[in-house]
Amino acid sequence: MKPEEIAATLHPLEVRFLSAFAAREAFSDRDAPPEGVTEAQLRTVIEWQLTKGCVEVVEVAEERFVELTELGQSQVAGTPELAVAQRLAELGPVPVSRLVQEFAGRFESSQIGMAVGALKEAGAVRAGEGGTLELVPQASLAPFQAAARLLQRLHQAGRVPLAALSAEDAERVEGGSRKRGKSRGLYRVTSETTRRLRLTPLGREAWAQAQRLGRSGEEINLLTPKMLADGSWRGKTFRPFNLKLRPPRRVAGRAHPYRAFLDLVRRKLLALGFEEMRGELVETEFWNMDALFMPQFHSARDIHDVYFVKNPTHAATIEEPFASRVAEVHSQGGPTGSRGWGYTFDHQRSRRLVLRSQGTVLSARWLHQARCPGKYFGIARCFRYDQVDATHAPDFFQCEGIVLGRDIDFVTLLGLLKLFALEVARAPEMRFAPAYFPFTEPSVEIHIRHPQVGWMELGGAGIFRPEVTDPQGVHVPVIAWGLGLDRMAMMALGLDDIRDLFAADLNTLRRGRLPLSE
Amino acid sequence: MPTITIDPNDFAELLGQRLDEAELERQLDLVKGEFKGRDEAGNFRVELNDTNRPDLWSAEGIARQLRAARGRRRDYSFFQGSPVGEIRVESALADIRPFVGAFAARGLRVTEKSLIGLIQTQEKLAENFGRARRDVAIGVYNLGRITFPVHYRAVRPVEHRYTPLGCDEPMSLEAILQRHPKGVQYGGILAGRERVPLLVDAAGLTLSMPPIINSRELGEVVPGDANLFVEATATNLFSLVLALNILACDLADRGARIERIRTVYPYDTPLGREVDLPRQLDRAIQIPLAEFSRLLGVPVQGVEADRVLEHYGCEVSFDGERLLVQPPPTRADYLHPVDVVEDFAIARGYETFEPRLPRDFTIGRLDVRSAYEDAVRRIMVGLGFEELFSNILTSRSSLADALRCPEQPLVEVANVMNENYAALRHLILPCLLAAEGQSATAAYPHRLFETGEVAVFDDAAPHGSRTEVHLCALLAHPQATLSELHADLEFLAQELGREFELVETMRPELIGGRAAAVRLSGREVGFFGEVHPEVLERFAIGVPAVAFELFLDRMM
Repeated sequence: MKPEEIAATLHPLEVRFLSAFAAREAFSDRDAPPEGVTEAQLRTVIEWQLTKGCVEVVEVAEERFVELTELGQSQVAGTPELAVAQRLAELGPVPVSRLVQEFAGRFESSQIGMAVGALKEAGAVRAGEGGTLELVPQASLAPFQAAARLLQRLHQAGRVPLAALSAEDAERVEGGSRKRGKSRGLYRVTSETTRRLRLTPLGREAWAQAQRLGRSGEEINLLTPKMLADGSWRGKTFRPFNLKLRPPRRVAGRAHPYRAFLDLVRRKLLALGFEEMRGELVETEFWNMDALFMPQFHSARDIHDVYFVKNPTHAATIEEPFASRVAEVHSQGGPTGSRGWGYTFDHQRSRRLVLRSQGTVLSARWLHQARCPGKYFGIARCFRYDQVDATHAPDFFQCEGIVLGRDIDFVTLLGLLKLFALEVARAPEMRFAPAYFPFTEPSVEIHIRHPQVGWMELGGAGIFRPEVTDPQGVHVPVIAWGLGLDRMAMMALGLDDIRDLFAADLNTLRRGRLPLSE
Repeated sequence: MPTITIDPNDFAELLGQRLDEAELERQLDLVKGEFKGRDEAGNFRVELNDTNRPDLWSAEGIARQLRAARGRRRDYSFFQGSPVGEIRVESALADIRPFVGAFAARGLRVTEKSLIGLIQTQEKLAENFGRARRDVAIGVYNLGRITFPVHYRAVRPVEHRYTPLGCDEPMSLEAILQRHPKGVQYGGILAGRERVPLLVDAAGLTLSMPPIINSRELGEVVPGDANLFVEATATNLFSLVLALNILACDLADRGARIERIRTVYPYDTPLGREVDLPRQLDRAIQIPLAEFSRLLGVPVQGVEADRVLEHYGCEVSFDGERLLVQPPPTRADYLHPVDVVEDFAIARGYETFEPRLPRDFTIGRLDVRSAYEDAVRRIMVGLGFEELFSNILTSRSSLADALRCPEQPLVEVANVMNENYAALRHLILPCLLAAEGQSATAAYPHRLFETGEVAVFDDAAPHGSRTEVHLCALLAHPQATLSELHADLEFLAQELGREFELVETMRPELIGGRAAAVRLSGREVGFFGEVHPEVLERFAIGVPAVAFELFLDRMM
């Protein structure tokens, strides 16, 4: 960050810190905080400043401190050594058991034992007659008095650097805390690292600029309802926020990316004047294939592998007059001028139920009820007997439709595809290639040049054969068209496995990007 | 749609010109072909998209079509002339595999390459056009070893033995059907037959058991063979004629002299009792000239139509008003005049037509269900739900057993490929539960929804099922409660202008006492409740979940 950015976004605590510390050549993170800043806040502020590069570490020092333990605190009022000496002076020679009895409730017997031991060692107490103890007259109690003073001092100061004690006291602390073990010691020595810090040139520059900006540390951080109510915000400035920091991630309601893509396509088709068709997931072979002039016993039907329904296996009837007309067209061509396929049409097979295998079934069903002129589309979920892999989902969508009109012919068919290329795929470069569909003649495929992948098939179309339209009572030319949405969607969404279009877990979904509309 | 491989040198010879890949790709428009790159050996791979043009499924066929475009159409003389041999058919074949035919090809130098090509053509024809040999099967033999006449007989499988290709010892027909790889693969075509077809020559040597496997004695062709006997059997006479015409023209293109063979039937056929092959197919189409302009949207003159179609390999006569168009003998795909019009457009080149935008005014409209679904989706997103979009063909166990409802009637697939994709969802709830089960590591809370189609089993419906549009919402997080989701449901109802009534109910997938039917004016339009822990376990969900599902069709 630049100094001016830092200066503009200093937190009020930072301002207060800098007001107090900027003038010092160096400081420590143990130094007393300035007014209005707690110790904890000071440490936080120093961390912020370190992160921004305003402050740097000069050196890291380890310092040892001494303080009283609970036991130590309990002896501030009097140590067992001085208490024993004073009591012996008052009582004269007595057995140890008498002393223990005397101090019951104040010191434990082991403490009395240790105090006697220490007094003996210092030559202040000696064994008298009959297993008694007696005070040595004129003996000095000075070391024990010094120890008591140290307790007093530590009690008052709380925590003192070890280095601040006299050599004697230091030894006392080290001895007291080491020899008697932790649980019984009077003193606790801790060590702390203290960092020596100073402002960097960047920090100085930032602070200089902050002063020029008039940053006082009194800026408003959060505007509260109270400030609004009492008007205390007036005359104050507001701390600027740092918007460079990454905000927390939001979980929000959101459309599914593939669904959103299909919405886009629907919107395009609506804009182009298409009316939507919807149908059933379970269809008869009649509407799925026969009505589309796909012969019942031809390889075109073999490649068209479908899922059959287990129960019921057949529909009860097929709507008339369509059933008879289609049968006639298949076998002899009927009144269409066609030869037909020349086989005996199987009505039973027509009634067989399948999972819809192609979106064109919607067009087949719509023909006899369609308006002329009319433009129709359907985005239909379809099913094929395919191994599920990166290019085959268990079910998938086809976008298909029809256009009826007296002016429909091959060149308007090309025109429609050109419109799709320009409006739906936004691809100005295209070429048309001959194609084969059992239900259209002529048939055409449109290829577009995609900026990333090069030439790709956008869709296929054709003019419905008379064998398809005549049985439905339609006697105007009808364009049948289909768009290959899967690949367009995968490119729009940046995917390379078709199964990811139907992403079914939140982690993937939340990562996925939504398609953008133009 | 067959994909064939073509040796580039062989193709250049057949075409009389070498094409680079770009030029090949462009010219493949003439045969609705798609260039699929090269294989490891450097051969072109070409996919042929027209299932009605088996004549194009070979290097010879593609080259023939491309040559015609340059006015180098070849007329084949062998569709007339006296037969040089005879096949005699036994009457019992009428009910088994009634049609047989053949021709002789002489003076051919069979090379490794041409042999591979011939086998490929034969296989593509038998597999795709002949529907895996059921409709048409083809056999090729060494002509010199055959003594005419050949007999097409029907025999009991235990009655006859011969040595099939790929074996060293004679086997009974029964053994071949049971054990020979081709018997295993294609035996189904003859399953249940008391007698099976057999071709034997006058000397009693076996040619083959059609449509299964040739004999080793007569039916093995090796590089260096000059004279071939090409035979086909079929269930449909016209398919048989077409297949043999194609093979004859392919071999003629490789320099063979084709001679006809006569088949003598003891029963009537659409072409009489004596059929000489190859022969012309009467597939001429009469088409008024005006049809071209009407269908294509551009003016077409008679001379142009005549010239362009001739260059597509047809014979055309034009009387000033109508054209009589006879396709080559390798084609039987003209069913209607529109087929001729497409050939004209392909031969002229699609790039020569200027696209014209449709001018009719029409109004765009959404289906009411889609519009309603969209409204619901917007509300749900506004409520902070994340949308799912699931596959709906799934497993029976995830739809029924996992919801503690193993008897649930479903729309199921009869020809299951994979049990994971064997039934259509009847509710969206299992899809959302499956998604939740996969989302344990995603930050909570999880608020999921999906709208879309389901298939509800219904005996009374014409197709045994109804396609309905549902909405399902699922809430899952450590503190998820009915009250939280109830608030969402209430908001949704209010936005849709509906007043729901919740009536306590029992559903196996929901916890008793925490399940309600959603009613609208007394009609059940969905359910609402807390998901049963056993269901959560089945979907590997480790937090409580509450859900509602609404049947949108009933609410519109």
